[in-house]
Amino acid sequence: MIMRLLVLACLLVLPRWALALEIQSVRSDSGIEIWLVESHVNPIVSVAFGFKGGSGFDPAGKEGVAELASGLLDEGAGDVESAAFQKRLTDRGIDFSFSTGLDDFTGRLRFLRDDRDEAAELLRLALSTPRFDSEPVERIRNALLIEIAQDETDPNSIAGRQLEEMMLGEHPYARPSKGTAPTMNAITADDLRQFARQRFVRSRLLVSIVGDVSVEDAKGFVDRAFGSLPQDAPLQDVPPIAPSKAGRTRIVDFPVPQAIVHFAQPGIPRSDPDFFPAYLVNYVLGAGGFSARLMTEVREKRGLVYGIGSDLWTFDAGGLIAGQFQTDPGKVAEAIDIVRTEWRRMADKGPTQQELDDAKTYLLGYYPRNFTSTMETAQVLRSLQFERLGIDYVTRRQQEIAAVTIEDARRAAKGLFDASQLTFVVVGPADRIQLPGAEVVKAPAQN
Amino acid sequence: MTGGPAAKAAGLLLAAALLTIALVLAPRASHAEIFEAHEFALPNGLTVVVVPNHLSPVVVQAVVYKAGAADGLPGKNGIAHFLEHLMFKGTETLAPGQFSRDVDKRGGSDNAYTSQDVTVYHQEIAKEHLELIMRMEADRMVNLRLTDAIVLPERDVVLQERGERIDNQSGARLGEAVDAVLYRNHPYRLPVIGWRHEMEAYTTEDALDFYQRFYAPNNAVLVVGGDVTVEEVRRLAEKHFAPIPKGETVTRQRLQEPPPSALRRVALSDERVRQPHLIRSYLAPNHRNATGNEGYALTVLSEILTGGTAGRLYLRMVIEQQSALGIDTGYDGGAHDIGRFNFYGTPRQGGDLAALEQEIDRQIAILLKDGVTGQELADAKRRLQIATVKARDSVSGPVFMVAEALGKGRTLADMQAWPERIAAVTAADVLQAATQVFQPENSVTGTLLPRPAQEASQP
Repeated sequence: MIMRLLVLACLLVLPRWALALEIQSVRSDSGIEIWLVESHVNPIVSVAFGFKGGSGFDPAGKEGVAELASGLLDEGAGDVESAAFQKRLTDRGIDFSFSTGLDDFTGRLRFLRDDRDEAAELLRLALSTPRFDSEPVERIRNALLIEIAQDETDPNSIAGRQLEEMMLGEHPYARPSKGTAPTMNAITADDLRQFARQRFVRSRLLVSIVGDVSVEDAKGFVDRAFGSLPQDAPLQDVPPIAPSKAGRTRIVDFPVPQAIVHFAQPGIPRSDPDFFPAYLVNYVLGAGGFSARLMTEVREKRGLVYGIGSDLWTFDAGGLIAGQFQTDPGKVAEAIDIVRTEWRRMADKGPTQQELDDAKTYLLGYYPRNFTSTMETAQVLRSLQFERLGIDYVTRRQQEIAAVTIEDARRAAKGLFDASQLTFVVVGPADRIQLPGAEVVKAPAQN
Repeated sequence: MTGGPAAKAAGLLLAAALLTIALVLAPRASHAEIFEAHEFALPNGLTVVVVPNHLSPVVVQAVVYKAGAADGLPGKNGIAHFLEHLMFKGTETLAPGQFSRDVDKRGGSDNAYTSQDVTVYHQEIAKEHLELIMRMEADRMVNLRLTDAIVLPERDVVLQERGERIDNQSGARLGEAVDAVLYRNHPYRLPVIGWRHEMEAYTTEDALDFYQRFYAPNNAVLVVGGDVTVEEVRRLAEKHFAPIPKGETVTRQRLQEPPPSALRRVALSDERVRQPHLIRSYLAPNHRNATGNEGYALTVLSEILTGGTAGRLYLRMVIEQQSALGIDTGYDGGAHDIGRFNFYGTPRQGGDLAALEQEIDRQIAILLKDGVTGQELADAKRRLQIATVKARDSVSGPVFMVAEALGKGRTLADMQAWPERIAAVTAADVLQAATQVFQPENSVTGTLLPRPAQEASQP
């Protein structure tokens, strides 16, 4: 009887549309698994791939190597020097880009159907024989050094770095992904080659392909692009994070007209069994756009901010719940007070049934919006691969969300949200910010 | 932990930031191209365009009003944007914020943006809820209800928004300063969000006046894209929008620019600036008023100069001379009254902004003397045509392109002809358009510099 009721409840909230997304798991001749969606609407193919091991895995003293590499993989490989490589890409309009997260290093290619072989060949060259010639290395390094210098006087970057240091201490996740000027300058072409050899291995590769391509052509693409990479290379894992529960407040004295506030408390990784209840609770509190409690209380009722929100940050090695807002220096104390009050109210009582229902229908109804272009779809699939969620996740997800009860949500709210653990960083003119008990520091040395 | 964009884009990002003082949620729509689009009109004057796209069971709706910041009254600058915020504050039958809540709880998103020429309200949601968003959008076209209790806190919100987007951002402040001198008479010279001292004095009546003057079916375009058919959209539009009475005919009445007479410069120094930056803006023909194909020639020219890493300026200044970190150009021919051609440049670390500017001037002189090569022209045109194919790979992109174009006075047929017009551009067209535009008296040069050390310690 209880089972039947549960099923009925699921039927009531599940949206009426069905996602016509046929995800196939295909194995290439050389053994590479591909998640593939064939879509023949436009003559376009998108490929999203990644390797475990992002900037959080950069060796000490060489912080920034993943960022630097991500800017250099389209700057020459094999016998093809930078300008010639770029010309081959632009002549055919092949989008070709790389970026690094903390946990993974990812790449994206989008090209016209008939340019598949050229795209595969350029990707093969880039991953297996990147040149790292001195001209492009120095050019991209220079660009990153400028970003590093700009971050030193950007109040949002200052707030982010201070919060990471207060929450995560010495953990590699707390290091800036671009490193510092000394570490960026310390990276050599040999370090970059070592990076490519160590990270671009088949044992840590994930690939999704979406678009105007057949199963056979998709297999041929991955065998050509990735088939010659080594099977494996040792990579040391990042230790779990141990986020601070101290709930400190710090003011960074800095001359900007509007103060910037970042805040965080410990969270959970994506693999936590209470992930969906926690996600729904945070949606009600801080992520639900104009409907969220923080937005309602701080912006709509009092006009203190233009925007405010909170998010679950999930990593392989743990998680945080983090948020931010900006306001006049004289209004910082009031806004922080409201954030704490709302945090406490959520922990004590959880969301209302109506709020939970609205959050669930949001999450359920949102899903097809992830699939409105081939690249977007390919990237979602790659992230499902990365989180090891399984190829049936697209349907299982809807059932798991629908099954979250108000008791689940209250348990997650009480177990996870703790106002006493909230750490705040305020970047702004200290003499105009009234926060008794806050530690006041100078902005970090500027060059 | 703070992630960064690809280093290559650094200079371009800063350039983009300068452009985005105009409150953008706007997609950086590159170009319109041929996609399936159907247009019809309701008896009350509402134009409707349907852009079917069946990638996912999702719809995107945009309602664009042909009224933006440049249509405001003197002394109330920014009122179009303030009204845009207030449009979420309820109607006779909908409580404040209910619109967004009803969209949110179905997994949709809704938002709006204001530019000099248009105000656009948009939603993206699962297809089964199209009728809901259409009903609510039609409702607030005529039934907005505002009280001081609702309006005044929102005035604080837009002041906070100004602080966040402009006052805290030196690049945005430079952009505001460039606009203020590039246009000497036309209201494009004023910031979309408004000047702080005028914003502080907005009243409920100011917003309602603007609403009553411009918000009517005959001054709006409804664009619906995604997993829909023309018949569905027609049925729903007739049900929800057709009952709204036609408003008075609206004409844009804006002060016009005098002929150009002198080149101008603005300079901004800020102690927080770590990287010098340069923007050079020229007044240019726009598509709507162009007598020939100048707009298309300028589009091709921008692609020749800085189309990705294949552009002439990129190759010369970034790769060969290694003087620039980033160099970019952009032609905006979509604006209702006046087009604009921009250069953005960032020197390498420790580099010299004056030298960078001289090199841009030298490259312009070479261009005006020798024109462009047949190979450059063919390569640029091919890249632009590939981009139009890729633009189809999106549900929302084409919707915003149509909304922007029609809202700014262009036609769907004009948009659809884009690939042919680009294909028809000759090297002589490019040279002629460049010669017309790149005259010193058409231009403003803006520089962003670190404040010198001896000044930095002064109060």
